[in-house]
Amino acid sequence: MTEIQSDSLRKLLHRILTTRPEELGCETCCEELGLLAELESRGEDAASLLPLVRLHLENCQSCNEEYSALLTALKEAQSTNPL
Amino acid sequence: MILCPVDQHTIKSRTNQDWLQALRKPASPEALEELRAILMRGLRAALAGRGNGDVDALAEDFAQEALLKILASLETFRGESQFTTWAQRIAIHIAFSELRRRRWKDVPLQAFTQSQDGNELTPALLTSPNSSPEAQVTRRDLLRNVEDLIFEELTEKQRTALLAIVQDGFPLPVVAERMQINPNALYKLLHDARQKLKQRLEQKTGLSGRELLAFFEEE
Ligand SMILES: [Zn+2]
Repeated sequence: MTEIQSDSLRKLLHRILTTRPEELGCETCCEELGLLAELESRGEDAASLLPLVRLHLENCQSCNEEYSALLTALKEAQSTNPL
Repeated sequence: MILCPVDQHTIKSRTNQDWLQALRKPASPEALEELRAILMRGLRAALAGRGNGDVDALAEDFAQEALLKILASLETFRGESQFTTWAQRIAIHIAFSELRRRRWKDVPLQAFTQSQDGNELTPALLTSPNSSPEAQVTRRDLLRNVEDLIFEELTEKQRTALLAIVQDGFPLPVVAERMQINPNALYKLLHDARQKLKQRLEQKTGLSGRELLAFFEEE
């Protein structure tokens, strides 16, 4: 059995107090990442077009990591050097 | 869009419809190889420098797995993005899910227990958050209350998952897999838990979530 550390409680309290009535789950967020990446690469205001996706990314490390990786992959695909 | 000569030469510009047509059974071998090359390149870039071992071998494995998944999911493509963006997203998801699984496979989910020191809520002090010595005390009270509520209000499953993620740094999808539910369902479970805790804190203190947040985070 492990005790809860006060640092974790602090993080948790922040997360609790910033809970919104409507939030997206990981899979739903994941499905929108392609669209989000293309909107953001065109400089469009994705935060207002896809606010729930953006919010999820701020709070979910796994999805955020995949989004960054997707951006890297897409950038690579657009780069001029084929290898 | 301006394409440089190399791009025009190496990347055939297929429309989304072209891709779908070329990949539906019987899939064109040329389109398959082209897609595989795109996925490999994206995966190599995304996996580079992450300390995961042989990037080329991993990229090859994940690209193969992604190709199968993509071919099986063609009918779910909604055309919201470029087809190749959608395909890359699937490949990245496959790769990162598997790498997370490997990284966490030997780490057990823990059971948590309440700490032993006392925990009184003093709601009166929370109504005057600006007086600094009291504010210190109430911040601590607030934390103790969160801890109490975690044990009083949440199910075992909610508590274990929430703390695994917040304290032990588990990725949510890994916890979901351990609990044998899908990540969306786990997210919902945790969202319900957070909503409940927020509501109970608001009830106990008579302050709104926004007020509590401002109070808690002021220095
Ligand atoms: Zn997520």
